[in-house]
Amino acid sequence: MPTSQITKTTRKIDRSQRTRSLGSVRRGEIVQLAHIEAGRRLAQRLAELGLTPGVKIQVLHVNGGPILIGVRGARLALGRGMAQKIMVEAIDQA
Amino acid sequence: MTEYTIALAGNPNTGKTTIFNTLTGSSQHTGNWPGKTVARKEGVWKHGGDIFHIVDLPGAYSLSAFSAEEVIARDFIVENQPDAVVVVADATNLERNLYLAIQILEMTPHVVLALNMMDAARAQGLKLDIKMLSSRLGVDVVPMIARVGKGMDKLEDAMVRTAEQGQRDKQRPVREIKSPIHYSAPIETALSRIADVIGQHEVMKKRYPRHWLALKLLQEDETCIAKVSDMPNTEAALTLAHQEAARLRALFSEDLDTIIAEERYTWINHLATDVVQGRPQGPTFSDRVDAVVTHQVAGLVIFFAIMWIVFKLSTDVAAPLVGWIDGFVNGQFAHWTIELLALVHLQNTWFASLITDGILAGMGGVLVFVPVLMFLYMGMAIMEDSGYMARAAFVMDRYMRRLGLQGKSFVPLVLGFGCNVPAIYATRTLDNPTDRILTGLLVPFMSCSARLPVYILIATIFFPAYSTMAVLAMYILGIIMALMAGLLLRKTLFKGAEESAMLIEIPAYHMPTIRNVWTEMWQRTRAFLESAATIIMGVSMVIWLLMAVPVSGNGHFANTPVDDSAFAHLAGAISPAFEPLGFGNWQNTSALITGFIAKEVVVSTLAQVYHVPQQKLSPEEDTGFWAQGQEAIVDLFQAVVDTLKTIPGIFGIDLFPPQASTGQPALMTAIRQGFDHSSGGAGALAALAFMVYVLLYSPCVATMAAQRQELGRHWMWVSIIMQLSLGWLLAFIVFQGGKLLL
Repeated sequence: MPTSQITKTTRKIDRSQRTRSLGSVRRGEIVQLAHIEAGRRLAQRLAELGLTPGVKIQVLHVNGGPILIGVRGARLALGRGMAQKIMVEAIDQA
Repeated sequence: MTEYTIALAGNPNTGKTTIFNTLTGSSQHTGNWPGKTVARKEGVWKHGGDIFHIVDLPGAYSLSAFSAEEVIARDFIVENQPDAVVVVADATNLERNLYLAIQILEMTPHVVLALNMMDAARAQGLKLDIKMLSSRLGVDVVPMIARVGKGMDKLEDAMVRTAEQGQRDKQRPVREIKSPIHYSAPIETALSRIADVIGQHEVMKKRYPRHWLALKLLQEDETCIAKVSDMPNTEAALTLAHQEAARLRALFSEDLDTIIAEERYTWINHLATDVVQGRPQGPTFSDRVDAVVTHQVAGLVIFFAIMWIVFKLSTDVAAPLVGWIDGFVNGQFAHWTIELLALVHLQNTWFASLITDGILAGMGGVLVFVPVLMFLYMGMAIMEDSGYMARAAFVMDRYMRRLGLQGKSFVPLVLGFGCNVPAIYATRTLDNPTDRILTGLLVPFMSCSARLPVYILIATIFFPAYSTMAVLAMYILGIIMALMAGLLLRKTLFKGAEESAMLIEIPAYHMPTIRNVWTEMWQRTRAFLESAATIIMGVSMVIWLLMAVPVSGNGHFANTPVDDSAFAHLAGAISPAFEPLGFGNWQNTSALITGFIAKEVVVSTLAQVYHVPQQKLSPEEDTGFWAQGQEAIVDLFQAVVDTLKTIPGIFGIDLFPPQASTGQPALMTAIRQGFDHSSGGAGALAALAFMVYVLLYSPCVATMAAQRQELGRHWMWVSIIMQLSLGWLLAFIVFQGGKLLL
């Protein structure tokens, strides 16, 4: 599959280059959390809702800005600003 | 007989309220947590001759003390030391719910885990090993379906057992807790070092569970550090915690808070993997519904349809009941009061006038709100209990962002079209203080149902051909003004305030229970009655006093024509302020003064001051006590029937066309002449300016009271000044601008 090849080749590249914001993820895609670009308070708030590094996130619905995600069995609605602070990457094949 | 205290904790939307309602029934009372705007619910559960005080802690996802709710929940468990804590968890969402549970287990061992929504878990194909969960956590775990009361008896047994143990353990000198969770070696080392120092401190070790305190100091939790700093000889512990935190920060690449959250989730994930068998297959029922409900287009249509229904419920459907209350208080009830006063020979005295024109009128002003509020609260409670509210916020988010607000703010604003008072209280659901204040300031721009009769009266007199359009224009103007005021406030008073981004949980859909809806509806209505009643009554008595005092003419106290009263003179003194707006005579001004108290009375004040006798009760009606009682009941029955008749109207089906309303030609002529005179001939323009002013100036005392309670005194004044000046400005533009154009 071409996608897995891309994952393998990009793996060698610097980590930050293959992360993107959760806001750019398309409906139905499953990604994993890389890191959160936010202040301490918000970062902790999100971590406590289950958004910790490595966790799998599925984008369930996209509503022209806000998105609805599934994480650890729960459903969260995130505003656009919030989604842009969450950096995600393709799921490790390992 | 022994008294116990049990706290109920849990994530929002876990059925915590259902369990609370089932346990405490009608013994509940609501207040606020000291110094906070967070509601505190408490109730009594009697069991086996013992009394259990059940305290419903605010719903929270964690206890990191980042929000008022979390601080309250945490402080109550640590400081007040309830005998037991019941953690209500959603079985379909075990991981996230256990996150809160293990934080509580770090504070107290006296915990019962109520594992709710077992039916939904089963429907998703999940099987939970309750015994394993119980032994790994070291607490009682009770599987439940709280909605239908299943598992309540087992929960009650576990609560009694745990609370008894909890009370026994309070005799112990040291609060020692063995938490089930273990962190990674570096963190555990740091924790045991700090805990050792805490254990040597006489006060700290008694007041706090030492491992918990060690963790909080390590995380540099501001509230905990402040509390510990206030105690003598705690420098050693604080310095050590600081050093350990620095050491760990150097060790880990991530933030320490994130590491701790991650380690907790990892631990929970292992536990959940062992306990839960079967993974949800494909999208759940809620996911499938949400494909439509959260859709960009369909979601919007559904949202407006639901809002329309709630709006109709609180206006058209409530209207006959409002009419009945109004008629009853000012009709039959007033009669009985007068008859009672006659029995003690007090009729036609100032005292009788105070009772009927002051207190009864004020009481009527408060009570007419009740049906409106009950229907609004019912709609809101159903939306909340079913889980729809979160979807509504999601759908509206992208539109509210333009105002610098988030999706959740939309609901209070829409409710404002029904009544501003519950709309202000609904801002409570917003967790960001800036959002709460900004939304609370914009609510008065939403034209509430009480302003409608004023528009209708004025529009019928001055623009008979375009009355519907004139009324609609007022609603639209209100929305435009809200948009502009919102942007203006963002650029001025709220400049630089953090733009909030939505972050809410979308719970699974649930069938709302009648009990929850009823309790919620009644509690909120009662809270309104308690807080607003005093203010409305107070102000109506002041108005009565002003109307009772003769300043000119031959009248005497409580028996003076309105024109000669202090009220008329006061209105006359204020009226020059309205002259540039075209409606500056004392009659219009007095209607605006009473309208400041409640918009409901604007029309009746106009009738009163323009000297048009209001419909008096005819002698035939003036029958005995029992006949009147019967009449009241017949009227109530009729009102209920009328209410039911309006329900098809919500869906656009007009089965019962309203009878043509009989106008009051005398009043209409008098008002027309009044406006023509005050505006120097441009009566229609002045009338339009008057409508604009009624739309924009402060809605009513009850709204102000709500603003003071929810936003604080400062923001109430900001709102009052903003509404008064914007109203004046717009009315000025309408009248003077119109004169220039015509």
